[in-house]
Amino acid sequence: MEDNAILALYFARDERALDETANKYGERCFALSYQILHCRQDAEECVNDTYIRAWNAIPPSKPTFLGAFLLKIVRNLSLSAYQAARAQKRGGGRLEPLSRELADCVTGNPEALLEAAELSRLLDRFLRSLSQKERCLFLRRYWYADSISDIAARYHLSAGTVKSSLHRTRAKLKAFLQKEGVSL
Amino acid sequence: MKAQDSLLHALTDVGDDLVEEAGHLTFPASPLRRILPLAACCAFILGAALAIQTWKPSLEAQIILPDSEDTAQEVLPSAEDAPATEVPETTGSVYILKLDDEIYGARQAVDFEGNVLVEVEHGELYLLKDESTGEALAICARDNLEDAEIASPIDLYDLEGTYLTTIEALRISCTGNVIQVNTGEEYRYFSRTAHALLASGFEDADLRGDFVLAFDLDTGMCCLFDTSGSMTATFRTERYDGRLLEWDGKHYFVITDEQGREGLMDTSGAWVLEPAWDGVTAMALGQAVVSLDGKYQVIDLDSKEILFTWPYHIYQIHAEGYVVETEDGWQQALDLAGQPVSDPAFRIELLDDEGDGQVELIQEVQTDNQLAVYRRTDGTLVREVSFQFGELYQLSARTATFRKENGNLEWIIDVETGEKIYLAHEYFYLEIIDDYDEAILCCGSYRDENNNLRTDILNEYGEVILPDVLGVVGIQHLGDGVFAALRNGRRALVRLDGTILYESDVPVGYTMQIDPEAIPTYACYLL
Repeated sequence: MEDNAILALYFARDERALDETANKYGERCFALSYQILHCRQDAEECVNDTYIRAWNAIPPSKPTFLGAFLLKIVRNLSLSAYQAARAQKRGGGRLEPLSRELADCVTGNPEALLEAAELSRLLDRFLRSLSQKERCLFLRRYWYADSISDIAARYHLSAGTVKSSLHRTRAKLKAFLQKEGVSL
Repeated sequence: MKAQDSLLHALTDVGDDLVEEAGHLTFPASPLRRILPLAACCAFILGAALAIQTWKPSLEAQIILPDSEDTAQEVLPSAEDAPATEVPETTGSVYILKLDDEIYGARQAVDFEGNVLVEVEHGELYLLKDESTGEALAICARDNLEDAEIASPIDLYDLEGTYLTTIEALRISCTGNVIQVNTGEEYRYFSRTAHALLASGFEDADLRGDFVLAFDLDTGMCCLFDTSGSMTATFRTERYDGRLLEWDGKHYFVITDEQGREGLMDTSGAWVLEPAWDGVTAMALGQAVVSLDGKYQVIDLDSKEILFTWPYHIYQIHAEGYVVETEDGWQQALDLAGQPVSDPAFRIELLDDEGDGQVELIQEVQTDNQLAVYRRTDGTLVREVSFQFGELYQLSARTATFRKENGNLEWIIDVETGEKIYLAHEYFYLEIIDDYDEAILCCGSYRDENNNLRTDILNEYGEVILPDVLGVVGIQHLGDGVFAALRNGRRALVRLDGTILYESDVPVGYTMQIDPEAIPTYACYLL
């Protein structure tokens, strides 16, 4: 079913909206959550919570990209679940390597943290300044939490090419943040 | 939280379009292209060329010059013979009617007299149009689809429903003299007039009304064709990342040179702006926004004169000024001399119904107090409209709707007079029918007292033009003011004046069986 038709069901408060959402986006949401949490049960919980959040948010929200809207919710929930699990020292997850890699971009004074929304706005601007391929590689790694080998397979590149592209993009991000006067 | 974790979290809220892009985009290799046996390739090319050759005279037969006499054409009834409803202006049009709500399902191509020309039971049916003129050339039918992503036979019919040929492909498109065939493995290009293969072996493509850009991802080359089929430029993919600017129906490519400087190229391959800039970000009225060393400038593309300079982003250009970023990160409208004509706001919208750069009104959106402020381009205040506990949705420079937090439409406001128009039904869904160009029309959906879904067509002042069109949310506009509708429990085509152009014999909810003998009118099975 097309997104507009699914949104119309939400607006009509028709519960088939949830079934259609699960049919169309359930797998993508689960895959993203599982990449972050590496725990089937926790990922399923996050996906179910995502449907509830979407039901409560639409209307009044009317997302232009329903898929991205849902993925953002599931990503937020999964990151929170990941942090909770880490605090309790349980669970695996794949964020540690990502976090270590992104440490390349960190400079300056960690006390002067930027407001999250402002940082998102800057990252959006930075990503739009990249070539399409660089941007997709970066987002597959740090947004979708894909492994290097998965990205390489997806884009028909060698793992080395993916790593070097990510390395260059992280360096660009560091330079961009410095230029913008952001201390992280 | 560690700083790097902040980055990881903040990434969540980058633009939805970026998330979608990374979610869907792939850059496939094309090993099959290299190993395809030459004979098979030649056979396909020959077959496709022959098909197009066969098809071509029929396409030409559709083109009737206004003054030419064509005795074979049906004589239109005189005004005296005309029925009570006005003579349709849709002569020659073909409409594609969906008989179910599936992405691939039962479809009918119906002409302006209500004759069914072509049907599919489980597939897709679309009009092959010349994207450069909008002229319909043929009807394409792809039936019995099991996997829509795999090439399968596309049956081509002329606009009278006469079978022309079959081509194995995913999709056929056309712009000017160029026919694009997506085989699923590659994109191939044929000349409509020379009946010859122009180029092949491309893995991705972008076809618009004024150009075709074909990508060979193996070599990283992009080949730009104009609508005559001539290759006008080539450049590497790393120099072009898909950024297009559009003005006055023409597209311009933002190209990056080896030093990382950006320039602007037109579809003939000529530089409109040589690469010398850190960024080229917006375009209108023969002017573009460029940035260099942290300064933003508006440049005239003909004279290359710098018309305006600003220390922060310049978002938009219009005939009487600019929309810029302020020092504090807000947006503000300025006149041509750089003087403010609005207050700094969360967002500035230019209301330009014709899209010609001549702005009717400027709208400031203040999110702190949920207020929309409308001004003329000289800054004169027209009206302030509060959208507390809801949201404002602009229909045109004249009208806007207010939706409550539950999504239901409460009123439409006439921006000039301030009159609030309350509607007969509590529409929970209202949207502009954006492919209807004659006027601003909306489709509005509501539930009646029996909880049944109803959808009306309304004008921008809330007047119902065509009531109870469909029992689902949303409208299918099929062109020329003809809409898919539900009449007498069946799917039908109706005009805006309410006349039924065609009523299908398929009741709603009925699933067609694939049985060509039982349904003998299924052209694609009989041919």
